[in-house]
Amino acid sequence: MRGTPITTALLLLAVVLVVVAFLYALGTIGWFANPNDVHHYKHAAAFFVLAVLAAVGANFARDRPAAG
Amino acid sequence: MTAAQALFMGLLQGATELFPVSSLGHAVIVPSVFHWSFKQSDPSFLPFLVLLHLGTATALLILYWRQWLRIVTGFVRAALRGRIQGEDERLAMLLVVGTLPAGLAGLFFQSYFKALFANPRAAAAFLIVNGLILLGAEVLRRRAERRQASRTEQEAAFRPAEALSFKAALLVGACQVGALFPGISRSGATMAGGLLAGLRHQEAARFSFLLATPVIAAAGLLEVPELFKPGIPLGLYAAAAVLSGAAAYGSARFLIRWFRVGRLDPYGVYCLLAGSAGLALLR
Repeated sequence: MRGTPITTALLLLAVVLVVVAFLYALGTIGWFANPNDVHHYKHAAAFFVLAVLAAVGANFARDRPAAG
Repeated sequence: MTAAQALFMGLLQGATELFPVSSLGHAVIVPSVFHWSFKQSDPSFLPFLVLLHLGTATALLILYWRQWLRIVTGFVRAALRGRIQGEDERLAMLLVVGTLPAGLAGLFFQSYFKALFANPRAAAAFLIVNGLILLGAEVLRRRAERRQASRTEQEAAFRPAEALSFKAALLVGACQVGALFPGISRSGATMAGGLLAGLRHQEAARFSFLLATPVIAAAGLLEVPELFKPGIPLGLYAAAAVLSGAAAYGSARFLIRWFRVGRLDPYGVYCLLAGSAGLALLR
């Protein structure tokens, strides 16, 4: 089993999403979030979930030897 | 909000969340028709909604707890293996794919849409649109059915939820985005989408309820800190949430039984009538 370009892209996406999640949690970014809140934990949680899903997607996209 | 109003709203939310008639639409229209003075847009109303949603989500989790156990373990197994084996794992991944559109749209655009359309007349108009969606889905469905067969035979010719393609699951999930408009039913839109994707009525309802659970639960759980703000009558709100959960449980059981051979038509007609009555009363 080895990585494909899609695997790499999805892993990179997962890393980016984790970074975005942290930036939301810290309140550094607040796109589409309630401007009255200092920290945007809802968005952070959502981006963290998306990062996990991107990592799962990367696992699915790995090259596997043909069965049989 | 008085205690009676809170309990009534709990009952209304629980009952209308799973019936394909839009809980949000009813929650916007009914208080206006009765000239109740509280406002949905008031920040103090949010903790109330949080608990009602948690009540509904809990009811759905209780109803489907065995399935959710299999779905969660199926997701973990498939995610670690990187390959789907078996129906539970497939259903888990279909639900993940189906949840993405509404989850993202809700997160980014819900407050925008609510602010734009959460007025009773718009909700009544969208309730009419919801009725047309339900009736339209049934018209299209009837074209795909064998005419001479019994209802049981007609239903048996269609698919279970596990047989959905991932593209179809994404499209059914995308139908949930329509529920951002007060008056468009989340369950109605996904059931209509499920029917068009070739699911049996009962399976379309089950997939709709399973799809709704993470979104409703997340919407509630993420707002839990709102409950601990000062001046929130938690006891009353919790009682309303219990009523909401009981109503949701009862309505889900009823609907699963109804959709063995029943259709969306009565709910479509109800939405047309309720929306029209709402428009007439809210002049």
